[in-house]
Amino acid sequence: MTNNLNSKVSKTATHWKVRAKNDRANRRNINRAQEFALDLMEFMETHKITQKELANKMEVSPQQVNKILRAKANLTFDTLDKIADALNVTISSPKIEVREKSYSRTVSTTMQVVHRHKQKEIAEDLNTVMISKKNPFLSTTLENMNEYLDPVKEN
Amino acid sequence: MEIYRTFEGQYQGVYLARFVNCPFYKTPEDYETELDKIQDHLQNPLYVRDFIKSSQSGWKKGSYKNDNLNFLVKQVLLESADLFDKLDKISEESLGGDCFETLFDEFIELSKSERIDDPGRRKMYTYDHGSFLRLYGIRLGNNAIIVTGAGIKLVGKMQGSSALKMELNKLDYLKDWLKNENITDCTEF
Repeated sequence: MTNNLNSKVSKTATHWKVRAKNDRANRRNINRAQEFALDLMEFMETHKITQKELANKMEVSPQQVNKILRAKANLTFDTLDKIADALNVTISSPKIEVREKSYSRTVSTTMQVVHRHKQKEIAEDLNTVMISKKNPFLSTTLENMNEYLDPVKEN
Repeated sequence: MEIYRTFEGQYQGVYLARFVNCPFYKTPEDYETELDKIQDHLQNPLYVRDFIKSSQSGWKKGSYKNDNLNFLVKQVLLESADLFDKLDKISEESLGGDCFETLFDEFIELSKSERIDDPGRRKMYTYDHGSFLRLYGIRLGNNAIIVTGAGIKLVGKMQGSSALKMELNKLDYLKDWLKNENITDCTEF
């Protein structure tokens, strides 16, 4: 006797959907935090500085440094200053610059599609109701089974 | 072995694996499924950097051996975001009607010889060209994919990286489990 996969499935995974939604909403922040973490890791590796040493110099916990390197920390100016002082470096401040319009929005969008899989807006409702294309008249119920079991009654 | 739905009431499409009684691999307790674990790892610059640097990745044996480490890490981090967007879209599209084409087009066979295997080992790329990431899963019947894991592929063949060899073993374990449990499809009856 063969088994149906659905008979073995008892749980619904929700974590990845929630995470995907949050990450999509915060992509710019995440990218920034990731790039900063990579720069920091490269500097630490070049100068042979461990996470613990950096934490000591910054006067924070090693967990806090680990969080920064995992791009999970919400970086404030205060934290950036602590890192800069601890490593004796300058971390450039954000500057306001006017965006250059070197090519039109249409060309820009087309380039994005060519180079990367176009990101689409996806409905986020985790309780999405399934849309079945099956003909409802074909579904077997106790009511419509009776017609086959007792045809004389109909006549 | 535990299999999870991606939507309440789902009867076909994308399913997720959690390895519980496998003798050589166990999904960490902190994670709901393998996909949950991959998502956390592939968005973590510390993890991705350490992984690529380690011998597990096969970086120094493959064609990217001369590429800058941070460049590779950045590419992987950016791609992982696109990979999850793509999977999200596929999981929604495969909910209703006949999803055979969607799953068959996006999840291709691991090697040409196993094109018609059922259950069969499959992989998904993020982009048509130049993907560093692969999502792995087992196709079951015409309408189901069970995701078993993902990999950063910097080598020509999966056997060139110990991490990818583990992904192969996970695929084979699930395939055998489905056969042993006599699970042949996900049709309603």
